[in-house]
Amino acid sequence: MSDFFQLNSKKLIIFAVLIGAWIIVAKLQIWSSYVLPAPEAVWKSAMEMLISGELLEATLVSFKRIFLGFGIAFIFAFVLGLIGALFPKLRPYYTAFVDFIRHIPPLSLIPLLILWAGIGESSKVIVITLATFGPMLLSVDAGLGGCDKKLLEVGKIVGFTKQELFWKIMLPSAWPNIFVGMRVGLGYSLRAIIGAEMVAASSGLGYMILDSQTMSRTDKAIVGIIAIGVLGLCLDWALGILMHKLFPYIEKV
Amino acid sequence: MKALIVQDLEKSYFLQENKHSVLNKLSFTATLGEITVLLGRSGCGKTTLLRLLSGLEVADAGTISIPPTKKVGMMFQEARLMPWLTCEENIAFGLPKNYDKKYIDNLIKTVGLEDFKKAYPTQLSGGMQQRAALARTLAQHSDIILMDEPFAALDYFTRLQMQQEVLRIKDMLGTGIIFVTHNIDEALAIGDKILVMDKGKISQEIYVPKVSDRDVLQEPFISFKKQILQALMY
Repeated sequence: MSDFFQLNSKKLIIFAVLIGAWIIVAKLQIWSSYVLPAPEAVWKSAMEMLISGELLEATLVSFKRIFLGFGIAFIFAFVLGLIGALFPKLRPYYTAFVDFIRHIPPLSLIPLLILWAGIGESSKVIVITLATFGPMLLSVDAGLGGCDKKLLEVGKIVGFTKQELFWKIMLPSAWPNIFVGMRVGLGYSLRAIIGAEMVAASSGLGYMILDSQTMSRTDKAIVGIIAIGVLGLCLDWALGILMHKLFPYIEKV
Repeated sequence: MKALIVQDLEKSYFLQENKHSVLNKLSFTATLGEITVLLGRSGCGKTTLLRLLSGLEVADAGTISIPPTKKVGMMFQEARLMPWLTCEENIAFGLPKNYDKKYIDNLIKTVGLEDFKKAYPTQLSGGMQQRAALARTLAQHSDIILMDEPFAALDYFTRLQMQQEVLRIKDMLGTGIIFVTHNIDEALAIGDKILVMDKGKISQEIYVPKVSDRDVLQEPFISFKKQILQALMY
């Protein structure tokens, strides 16, 4: 587990190599600085954008959308997963529809969403919710449905009621799976939000990147891309720490 | 005191529409304060019988009578500990919130896990896991304990130690134990009554005389072993 979190030198090597290659290629001036800006230029813009607050603001806007959309999707997926586990007879009524929705790329809904919800926050939040709901429901389903029958028998032997079987065995055994689903969902939500912001937004990291392109500021676009990666890493890292704290018995996931 | 009376029990399974009879009009009785061993080859229906006795499965026909005041516990072939609970929490699993902590502490000592109370199942060896499972079964204060080859995966020495533990607990608590095994030596080492199972029926009943010091390498145990082998070798 500790191996996952430690920002040890082995993990940094690849970044050092990439940046080194970048410096060399930029120095050789194979491409114009518009096509491939030098690392120094990108660093300078990053600092400027940090000081002006532009970068932080864009990141926070995107983060807020992710947080909201992801949270809503998690609640929906969790509740529907619970209903499916507690009342298996209800499952056929919604599984086909969920599979149908799950395969529609959320970005394809943007034209409709703009029409229905405008270009404000709600259309972005809905896109993230739709993008993350599917994978999270799958993992909640897998977690609750995949509970070891042998453990459930132990509960039956000690005289558990159906409710006790659920709360004391099924749910605790499902949490690790649910968390894996959350991590997968997080990746989906980042992809969806940047896409949505590029198509229909006036703020956020996706908008910032597209705006930089319009203004011929490739350096700023690169800063935006790096910011997305860092945001994703931080969110995944936070979720990993939370998971380790909540489920210390899992060695590695 | 009779703890359990089984009469004409029948059970069959369907495998690809073919009916396989597992238990075939099986009858026996078990007594409190005694270890009744069910001995037989694999596939003779021992585990199915225990699952019926524990209520995990329902018989096709026949009756199982257990006095309504008697509580039945079960120890499985695998430890089946909850991976998200510590050793101590696993042993107290299913007990009411205000359970007797002292009693649990004593149980943990009895099975020799006092240094591993806070360990998770993955951090315990197979033998330790099985000892935790034994403690969990005992913590339930069952009058009748069903044991399904509980020590099959343990090494010879741990196995001997656990057998002694079972004998001690039976004498101390007067529990009725129904112990399933395919190991003849194990049956002779702990059984008060050995029921040899074959083809879904009890084919032999052996009553083991009460002796203070059992030596399965002496008579009458050698004759018993021959008798069992003759019944099961074909």
